[in-house]
Amino acid sequence: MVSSEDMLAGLRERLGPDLTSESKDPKNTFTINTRKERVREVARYLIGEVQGRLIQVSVIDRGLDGYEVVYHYSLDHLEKNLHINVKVLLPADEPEVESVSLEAPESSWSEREMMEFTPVRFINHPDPRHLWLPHEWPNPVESEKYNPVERNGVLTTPATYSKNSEASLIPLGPYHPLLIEGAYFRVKFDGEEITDADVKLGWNHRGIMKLFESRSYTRGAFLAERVCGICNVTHTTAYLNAVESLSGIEIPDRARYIRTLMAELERVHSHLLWLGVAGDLIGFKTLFMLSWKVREQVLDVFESVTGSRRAPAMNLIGGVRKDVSSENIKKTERRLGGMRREVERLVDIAYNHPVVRKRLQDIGRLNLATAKNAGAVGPTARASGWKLDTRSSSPYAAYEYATWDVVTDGGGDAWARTIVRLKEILVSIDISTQCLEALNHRGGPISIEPVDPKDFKLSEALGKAEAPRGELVYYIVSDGTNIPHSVRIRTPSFRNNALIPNLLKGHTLADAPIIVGSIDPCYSCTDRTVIVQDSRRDTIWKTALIDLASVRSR
Amino acid sequence: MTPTVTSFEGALLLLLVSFFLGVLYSYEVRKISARLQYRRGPWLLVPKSLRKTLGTTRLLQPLYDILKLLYKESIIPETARTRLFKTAPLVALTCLGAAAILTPLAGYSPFASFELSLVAVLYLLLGVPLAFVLGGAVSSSPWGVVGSQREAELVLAYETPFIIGVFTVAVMADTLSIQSIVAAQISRYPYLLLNPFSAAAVFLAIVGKLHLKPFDIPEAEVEVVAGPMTEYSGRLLGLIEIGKVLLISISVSLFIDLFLAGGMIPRLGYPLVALIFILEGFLVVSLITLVHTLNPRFRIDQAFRWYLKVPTLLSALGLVWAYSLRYLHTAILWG
Repeated sequence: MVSSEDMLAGLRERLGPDLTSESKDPKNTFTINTRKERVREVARYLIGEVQGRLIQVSVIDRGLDGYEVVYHYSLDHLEKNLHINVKVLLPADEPEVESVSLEAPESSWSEREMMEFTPVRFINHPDPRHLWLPHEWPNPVESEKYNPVERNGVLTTPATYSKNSEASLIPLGPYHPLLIEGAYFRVKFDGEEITDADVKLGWNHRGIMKLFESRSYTRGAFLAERVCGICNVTHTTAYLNAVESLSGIEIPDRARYIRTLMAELERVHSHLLWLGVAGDLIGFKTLFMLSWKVREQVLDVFESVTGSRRAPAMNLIGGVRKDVSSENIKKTERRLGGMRREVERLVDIAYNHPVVRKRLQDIGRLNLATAKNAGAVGPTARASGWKLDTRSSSPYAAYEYATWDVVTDGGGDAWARTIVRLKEILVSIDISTQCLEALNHRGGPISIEPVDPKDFKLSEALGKAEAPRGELVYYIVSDGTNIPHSVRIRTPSFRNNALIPNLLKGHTLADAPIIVGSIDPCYSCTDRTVIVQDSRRDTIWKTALIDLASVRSR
Repeated sequence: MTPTVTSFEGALLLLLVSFFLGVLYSYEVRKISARLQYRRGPWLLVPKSLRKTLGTTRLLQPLYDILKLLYKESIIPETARTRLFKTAPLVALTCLGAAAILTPLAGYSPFASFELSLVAVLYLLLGVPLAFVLGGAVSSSPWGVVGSQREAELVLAYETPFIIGVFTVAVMADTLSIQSIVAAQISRYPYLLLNPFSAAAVFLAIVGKLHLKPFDIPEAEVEVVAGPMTEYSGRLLGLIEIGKVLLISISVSLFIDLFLAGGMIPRLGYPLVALIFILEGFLVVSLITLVHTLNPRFRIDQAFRWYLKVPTLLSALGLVWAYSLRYLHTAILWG
């Protein structure tokens, strides 16, 4: 175990005079500034020696000062709440910095993302192809160019077209029944076996991170809710964790319990939804129908408690919007009891069916080393035996008050991922029951006055929450006005989707759907912009869309 | 009964009844699987408030689906081999039509009395997947090609127990005419009782033949879209759907003919026999539906191995059983 003191001492020793400043915020997040020549050394130390995780690379536009690259390292699996932001300021006329993808392979996608959103170039990046933009833009052949580099066997060489190859390429997507949303997996076959695979994102990109920069903090909560249709409570929770750190307020206990209740019910709903989809992916329609029937009851609970089946808009800055009445508490408790019985029956069906077992066992194996190397999060990491759960490592809301265990499984295959999720449903029902009990016994306010943005205690904050798919990260930079300067989101699927090509290798086409599905990928989380085109193929911009919307709803 | 002047009418009657039964069976598959999955499925009796728009019953829903397809446009990919692509469904339909005429329904069959009619039906039924393989392969869609490949592998897997099981029956009845097999059962016992092993093997092979779960591998939606059928649309797809309806009807009728004495019970009049035949048909279909609903899909290699392990073994056991029965019979008769 490395304590924060040791880690800081190590950094000071290595960087010497290049460590230009360091600070610490009340939530155990350190921020250091250094020079751009040293970022790889810092990565080598924090990833290689301290065993930290690089959770995101953000680029903040500082105007005339240049571009600030922030490497967010999370060490909360070593010490509670411990995070460190390593900042580098790049001049505006030459925003170039060495890529850390070789030291931290998990940063590959983050760097590619930032290269497309900002003018910053990460030089010597092993895979500088477009992540969001079409591969063939602006030049068809040039942008597919790719130099294979030795990368610990973690990142894959992409499946590209070549004329003199015997192998066949099959496009799984952008529109394919395997995928509920738009995504594109290019899969290379040698006979039956998948030899190579590549993911292309950007089919559902909605520019939400940019939209945040034109909305007040209060409205941001509702926007965060719309990043993902499945885990919207978690998105607002992570967003508000960051905003509340910025403003330095602590929300009342009752609000904490309500937030936890909502988040856990959402996890139940999401995992049940996943179970159904996974059933469908191995052709088990009956399991799909049964688990969605139970999921419907969760949505009923949401409706009776919040008034809305999804996107309940419960979380606000400083607390929650609506109290849970004692009548609703009783009703929900009763429903949860019934739900638990039905979930147990579902678990029984999924667990004991010989064909289900046959289809899932030994499929898409992810060993612990690869999971750590590629930065897997959530149930995907936990199914590989990595005890990684934001709820316990960086507790928020009321998770510290409840008693529960992190579910792990050492198998690492699709079967283990299924088991972890099934057990998590039961754990979530447990936590929800505890929250209901607490809500029953103690009263108190459900929200406090938010702080004016000009009185914010901090200028930047990291907010995390455990979404059903894994660790969700929000990074918000405030400039003292009522709208955030920058909001950066790292969704769990953004990490886990990068693993898919790796998992597909060596399996057959028949297993591809369940391997992709076993990650529980969420594409609307991964992508965040969509371009709307009218019938004349002209791009419609925001103002025109607002006009159209008002015409429609008049 | 020999083919006479009425043979054309007889053939037409067999075809139409076969098709109609197929529609009813398809309805049953949809209804039972829906009820098992907490869905409603097509109404058997439409509630009063909806009758104006929906009619009294949606029993013929599978037929309406086909009719809808028949008056839609067929889109053929530019890169497909057009002539072969168009021919494949016709070939499948022709095979099925001929097989329908040769399969006795409730003992009525003007054509199945000739020796080797069983062999003819087996060949005709084998023609159907081959036509689908052809259609998928020339459709110029990667999913069509992959689906065709899977279809060909699956045929190899289920055809072995099917053929062994069916010929075991022929051995027991000492004839290759379906009509005589039915007749042989009427005088003794249905072969389901005498040889349950072969019956089970043939039943499981039929599930594969109909592409129901766990063997809907060639048409697995999430993997290969619709397999060989991916590029078919409109009228051509309608023909394929007609073929599927005929296939379920013929497979079930054949099963009843071979193992349940064709619904015939000695000293029973005609309308009653027809009723028993249909009831037995519904029973077989509900069993098939149960298998279909309660299973996920196998992977092709798993399906192949499973077919070798269970049904093929069962059918081999059935063959041994048939010969030992025969030996026992003679021993008792002579001893």
